[in-house]
Amino acid sequence: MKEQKEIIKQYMELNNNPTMRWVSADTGIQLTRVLRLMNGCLMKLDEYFAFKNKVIKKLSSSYSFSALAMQCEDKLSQASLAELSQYMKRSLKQKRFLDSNLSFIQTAS
Amino acid sequence: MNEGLLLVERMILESIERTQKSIAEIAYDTGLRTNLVCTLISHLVMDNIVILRKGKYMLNYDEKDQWIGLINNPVHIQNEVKELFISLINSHFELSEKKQYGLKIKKIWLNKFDEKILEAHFNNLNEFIVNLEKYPQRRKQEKLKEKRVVFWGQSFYGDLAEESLKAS
Repeated sequence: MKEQKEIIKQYMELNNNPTMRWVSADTGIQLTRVLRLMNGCLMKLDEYFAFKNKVIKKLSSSYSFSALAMQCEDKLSQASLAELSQYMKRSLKQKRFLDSNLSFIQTAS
Repeated sequence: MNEGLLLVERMILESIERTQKSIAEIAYDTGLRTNLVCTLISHLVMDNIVILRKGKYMLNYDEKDQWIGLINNPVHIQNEVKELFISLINSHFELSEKKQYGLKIKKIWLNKFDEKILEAHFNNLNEFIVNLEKYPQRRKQEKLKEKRVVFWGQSFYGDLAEESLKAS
């Protein structure tokens, strides 16, 4: 059930929360079935793979950072994710310093 | 403090470790903009690593036990060294004119004799650097920003490839 919720969440986020009719047309799953899946009905295996394949296709064609981050989260080891996270945290920390420095200059002028 | 120190934060700590300094003096010593020094040092004060006494900033030696382990944590040091390397590599590729202090990386085969010669060169360099560090008072008047960051070392190509694979 957790995997089902995850894949639906990923799919919806990557497709900017489309309508149920759009989801049905995209995945090939009947509209009434899509509605039931969105309301928590247990997914069949072929339905899961229909969503999964769409997500994979979207991720591989998308160059957005969030799409890339999702792919990393899906594919990379915990150690690699920890290393990437460290780099991102340090970059954010530095940016915060530079931004607060900038607002200091703007206030002063 | 969970991410450890940024390169610029450590630079400020190294600056005030030599002597207590005002903001302007730290900026002069490190080459960092005064406004940035203000921002950075206020966070270091909040983290209790730095204190202000009579208009000068200094390391908070009274609370040293609370922060020394954090800033010298091996994982944090590793991240700082990576940051240094990234900066070095970026600078090397950005400098379009005189690359006086560029980066040199070579992949070479060494026989036993070559290995001994290379080891001797590394030992000489190591001794030279150690001797320079022995007499810091000679260089007390020089600015921290003018300190050179020197890298040396070597590894087997295969070991590096192996390590890079661990990254995924």
